[in-house]
Amino acid sequence: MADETLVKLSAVRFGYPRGDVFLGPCDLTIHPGTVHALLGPNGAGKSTLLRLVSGIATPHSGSVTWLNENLQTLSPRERAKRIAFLPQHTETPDDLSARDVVMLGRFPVRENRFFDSVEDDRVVDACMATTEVTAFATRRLSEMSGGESQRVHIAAALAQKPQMLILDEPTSSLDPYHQLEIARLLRGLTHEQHLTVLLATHDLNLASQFADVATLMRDGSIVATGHPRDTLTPKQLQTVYGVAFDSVRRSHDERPWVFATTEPAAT
Amino acid sequence: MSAMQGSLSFKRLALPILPAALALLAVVAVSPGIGSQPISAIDAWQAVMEDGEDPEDAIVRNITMLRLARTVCALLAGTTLALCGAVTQTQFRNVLATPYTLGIASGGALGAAISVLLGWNATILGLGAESWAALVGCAAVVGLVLLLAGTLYGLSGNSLVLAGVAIGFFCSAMLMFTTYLADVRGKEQIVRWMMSSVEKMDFDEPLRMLPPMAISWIGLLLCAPGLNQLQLGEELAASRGVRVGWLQTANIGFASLGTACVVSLCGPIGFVGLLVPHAVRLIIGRDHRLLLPLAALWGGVFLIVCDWLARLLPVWWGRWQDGESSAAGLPIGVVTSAIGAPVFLLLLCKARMKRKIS
Repeated sequence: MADETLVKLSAVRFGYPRGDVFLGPCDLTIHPGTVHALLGPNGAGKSTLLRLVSGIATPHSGSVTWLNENLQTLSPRERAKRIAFLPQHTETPDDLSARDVVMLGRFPVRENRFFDSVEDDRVVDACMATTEVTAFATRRLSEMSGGESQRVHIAAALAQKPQMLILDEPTSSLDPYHQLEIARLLRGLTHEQHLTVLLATHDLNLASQFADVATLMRDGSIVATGHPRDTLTPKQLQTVYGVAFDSVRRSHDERPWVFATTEPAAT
Repeated sequence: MSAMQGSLSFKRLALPILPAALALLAVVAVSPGIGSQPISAIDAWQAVMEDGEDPEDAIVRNITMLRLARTVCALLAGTTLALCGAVTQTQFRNVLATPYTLGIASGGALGAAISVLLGWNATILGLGAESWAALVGCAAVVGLVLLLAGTLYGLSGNSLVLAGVAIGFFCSAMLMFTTYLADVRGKEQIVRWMMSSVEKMDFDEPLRMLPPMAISWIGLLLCAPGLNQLQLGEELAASRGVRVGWLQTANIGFASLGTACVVSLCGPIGFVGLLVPHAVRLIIGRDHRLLLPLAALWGGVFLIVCDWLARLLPVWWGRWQDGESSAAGLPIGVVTSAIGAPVFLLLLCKARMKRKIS
């Protein structure tokens, strides 16, 4: 894992105007070229934290810095050149083709706001090849499976040419095969393109297998952060989720398989 | 065929725009020849160009100028309504949204009705009292909708639509009350205004409305790349560098300006803002860089053709009834709605069949 810091959250607090959700104070460091997973129960503040790191939301206090520069001082377009964000739900119209969706990802980086360039075409083709969606470039999103459509959205995010990719529950509603497919793709992107991936997920085992760092959140606070073998322990998971957990460790890398159980946790 | 059909180059933009622009030029060119008095389009344009002393030429010239004035009026209104409709549908992500969704038409109608009730007939800066009152009514409604939606829920799409519908209904109720209070002549004037019309005596009024309308066109066309992102959702658009709040405010501001000008100039012409953007979207897709200019051009063509029918239908009806032709034109709002509804349904059926086949 690289020692340098890409994103740093310092004493970040956030609350919605009606005051029903509150986050922080949170301190977190995200290193470049890593897969960083945010885990925690519903309402823990994972999505809010993602929105703060992506720059869509502004912290009430504290700071989010990108390579020591305050993220909020960057213009939205400059932020979008660095960070691509894929929300859990997109409102993509059914009749857009895969290539149309990926081309839309070029918006923040293209020089000419009105016309697409040859460079745009080249980048879009390359991103579609990376996520293996070239074969259905002309197919409508409504005619694709969940896994295919998620890969199209990831290609669109890559078309922004970001240094960091933020994804909110990218594998929810996918079957295990497609979950692994997306996880491998993201893992590959960190290796091949030195992309940093920050994602929120409910899939503890997927995070355990693929993440370099797993951060546990509860009630708007960070409970633990570190390598999955250190953070995804039954004791910490019980603290976060309020149910007993058991685990089995993989022999070669000590990464745990964890599962919630009705039995008291094994010691 | 996909909805956006790949990357947009200048050539791909020009390809569908050129025929649309030529179609618009063609209908404008033919328009002076169409009406209760049949004149060939060539004679009509010659009479205007030559400015001769012959009394027969003068009659042809006068008829041509009247027809050209209403053609210009239809062109401006059609272009603006179709453009505003396309933007409003994306802004609210609602296929049934029209330029009147925010209650602008009801506000304008109430303003015009009040001016009729109070007997205002002054002309200020070339615009009649009805037009000014309609303009003020439109502005008041937009201001009220923004204030109400912003105070209660924040300026989200749903809150704006709800506030627009509520204020629209209130204005409609007040319009009925105003009509009830008016005398017989006033009632007729209000009903006639509600039916909308592009009949103008000269170019004065349409040309006075041109600058604010042009501002609205330019503003909305510049919003096109941002609208492409907005159709994916506000959060994703924001993450891609779109200043969503600014974009939405600009959309509402420019669309309201354009729509208010049309309502003030012609009354609340229905269906153009719904039908034309849908038809164009079904053919060329969702890329607003193409959709907006094309909707504007075809909106102009559509309303000019509707105006031809508004001129010709009473003539044909009169001849069919008793062999006499009638010079009185139909209100254009009747024609747009009568044509718009079945054409709209036909387009939806065709789109469904096309999808099933593909």
